[in-house]
Amino acid sequence: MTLPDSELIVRVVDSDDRAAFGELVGRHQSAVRNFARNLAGGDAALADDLAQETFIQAYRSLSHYRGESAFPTWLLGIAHNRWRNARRQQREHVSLNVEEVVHAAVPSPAPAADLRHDLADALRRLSPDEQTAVHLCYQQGLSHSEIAAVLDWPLGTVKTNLARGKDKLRQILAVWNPQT
Amino acid sequence: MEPANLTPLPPERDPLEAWLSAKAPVAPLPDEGFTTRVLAALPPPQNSFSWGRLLLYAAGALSGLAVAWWHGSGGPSPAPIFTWWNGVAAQTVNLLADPWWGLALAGAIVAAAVVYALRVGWASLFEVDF
Repeated sequence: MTLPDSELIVRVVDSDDRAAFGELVGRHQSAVRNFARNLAGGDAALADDLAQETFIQAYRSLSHYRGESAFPTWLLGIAHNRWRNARRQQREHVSLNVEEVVHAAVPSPAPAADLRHDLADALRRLSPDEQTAVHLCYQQGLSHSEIAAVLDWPLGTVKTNLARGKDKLRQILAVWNPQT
Repeated sequence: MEPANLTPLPPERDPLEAWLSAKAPVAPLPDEGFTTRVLAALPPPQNSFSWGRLLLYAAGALSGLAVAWWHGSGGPSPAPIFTWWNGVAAQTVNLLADPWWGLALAGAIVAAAVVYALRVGWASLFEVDF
């Protein structure tokens, strides 16, 4: 019998049930690690470290989880907070504007079979905020309000970053696939 | 499948939107031992080994040894604090020899334990819902 997340959370909080927490990690590791990979620019090792820290932080804070957002959304919020704090400490920020993106794009057309790879490359040419918004919306399937909760952004900022990201993607993909 | 048209259109008819929705979702990542690593990295259970508890036990044991040594034949004369303590202990034993005092003390201890155990439940009795 598969227990819902809420029941597993109660077991962890009430009786420190490690097996129940393991079940929660197993269920949500893919979403958290994929999000961490997006944040880390595809660095799988760094992303897994971030994901591991996220789950440990979640374990410590589980008694404060009130169910106001879905559990995976809460986890992604923790991951983003940790990433933002680490990035603030490193004082590194990389931003590309759309002109740089389009001129940096590889002009050779890509075959249809490579379009998923194209998308990954194209996403990396967006600004970090646009990448994150597009990833959460289209790759994780979150709603705009859920993205706002994860990133602690106003809803308007989410929509702006998504619109800008899509505009850039449209231009990049058009350059790469001029026959389209 | 590639997008047929990337020109701007209303969101509901935007091919890029439809293409992203269909193509972008990421494949689930295999666990590959990740869950095991997370569980191994969790903080130890609260009732496991604790340095603080060990130090407390060690301090208690050393105090006991010191008292035993002072009371032994080879040690120096007892310090004034132990003389005072022996007097207090003797008076307490005499007091508890009276069954009513012993009963009262036991009752007080049980009452304190019940209050401690139920303090959260009692606190909720005073919450008022409007």
